[in-house]
Amino acid sequence: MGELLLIFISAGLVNNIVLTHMLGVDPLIATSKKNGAAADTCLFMISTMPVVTAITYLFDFYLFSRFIADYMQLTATVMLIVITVLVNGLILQRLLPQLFLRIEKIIPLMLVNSTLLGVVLFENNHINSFISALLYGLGSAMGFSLVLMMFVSIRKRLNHPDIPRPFQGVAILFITLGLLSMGFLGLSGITLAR
Amino acid sequence: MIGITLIVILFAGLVGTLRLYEHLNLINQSDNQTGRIVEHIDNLLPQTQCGQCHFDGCRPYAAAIASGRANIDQCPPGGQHTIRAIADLLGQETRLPSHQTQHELPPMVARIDEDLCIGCVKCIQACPVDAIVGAPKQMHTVIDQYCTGCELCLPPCPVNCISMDLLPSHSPVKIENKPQPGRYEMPCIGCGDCFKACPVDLMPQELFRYSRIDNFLESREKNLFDCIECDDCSKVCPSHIPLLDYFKYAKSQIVAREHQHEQASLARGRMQARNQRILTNKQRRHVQNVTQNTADNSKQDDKLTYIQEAVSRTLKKRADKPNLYQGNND
Repeated sequence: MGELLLIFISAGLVNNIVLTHMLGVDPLIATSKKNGAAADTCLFMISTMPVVTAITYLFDFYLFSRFIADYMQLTATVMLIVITVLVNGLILQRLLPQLFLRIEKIIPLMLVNSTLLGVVLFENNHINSFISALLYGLGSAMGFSLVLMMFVSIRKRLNHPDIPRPFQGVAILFITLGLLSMGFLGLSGITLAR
Repeated sequence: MIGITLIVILFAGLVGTLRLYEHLNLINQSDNQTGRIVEHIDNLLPQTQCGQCHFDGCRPYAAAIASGRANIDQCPPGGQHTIRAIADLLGQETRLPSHQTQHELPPMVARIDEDLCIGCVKCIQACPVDAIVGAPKQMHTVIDQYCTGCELCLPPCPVNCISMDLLPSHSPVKIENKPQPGRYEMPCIGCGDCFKACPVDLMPQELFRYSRIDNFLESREKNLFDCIECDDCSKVCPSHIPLLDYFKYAKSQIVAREHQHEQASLARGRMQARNQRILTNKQRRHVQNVTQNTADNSKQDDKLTYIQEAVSRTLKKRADKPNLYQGNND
């Protein structure tokens, strides 16, 4: 139980996909302009990431690592991710049509996204059971959403000050992201008290 | 062997799911969506129909932006805030520096010098929103309320009697100037004194921040229009910021934009009405031409039958009196 909690926190905060691994910076910057788009991206991540990590874990563990040569595993994983995202979309459309309406615009952009692929590839290092794969995905999605929502609010505040010319636009966003990343560095080294 | 089969199955699954999506019309809504985007962009444009963007009007320009054939900065009458609004809508970066406002021309209307007008109707045909009234060989005049200032009536006039003029002073829009940083003005230190001084419990500090960077939407959300313009906040400000001037500026800009938006929808309506009228006129003329042609044809048919009847009658007469001719021949 404690280990599962640790996996969740580690995926969300300590090894945050954006701030520690620097993956998925592009969706972060692209969708953080407006609250609505950012919320849609968060919903997509939270509803898709756990499914993707769990299913890729199963396939990887039982099929890919046994039957497919090393150099083809990445290709197989990418194809599996795409299929999973699409099928997940179909299921969501049946079960939660309201949610699907919000995320349908993002699906084409996120199909082969560095965020999803990155989480799936990092997953191999940490995970040893189905449940923990699910939790790892959920944690990563929550961590991404946390950073995205923080970034949206920071970006709103960035409208106020007089930013010097050379730093205007994307430059100040990257600097902000770097500072955030340094802040998250303080979370590293969390262990369970015994 | 199993590995290859797996990969083939995966690939087939990939293609299959994509096909399924296409079949269910979940992703391929691009046409539909561009249509909606054109509508949104068209709503932001000033609807002068002036063609300064090198397109036929506002709607074609909006379509060109949506399909990526045009830049968003080709609309001079819209000015900077139109560019910014379209950039916001499409998620593009605005290339203009955000802290400077370009000097924009005030709205203009066309004016006809009625002594010179010869009543040639050429300007009436050129006007996209039917803002010019008049009849052939009668004096024309411009209705200020409907004129969008597109200048399309200037070139066709053979006697150069049309000129552009400022809107008359009784128009509802009066734009205040943006306060320039004065000698004593210093940056806001966020002390909150203005907040304490405000008799209607606004947050002048926030309002000032948004007004200064022309974020009118936000300043409106913070209840800018509840400000009673008592000027207490500027008096207590330790940084000597002319807060009230900024608020007046923001208010006038918001009112002006709303007015502009109303004018735009009015102009759009008038342009659509005009196009509709031209279309129906054309159709009516077409129908008239067709009926006239058929009438002519039937008249000609009548003539032909008449001639044929006459010919047959004479032939009959000839047959009745063969002797006459025979006698002549002899």
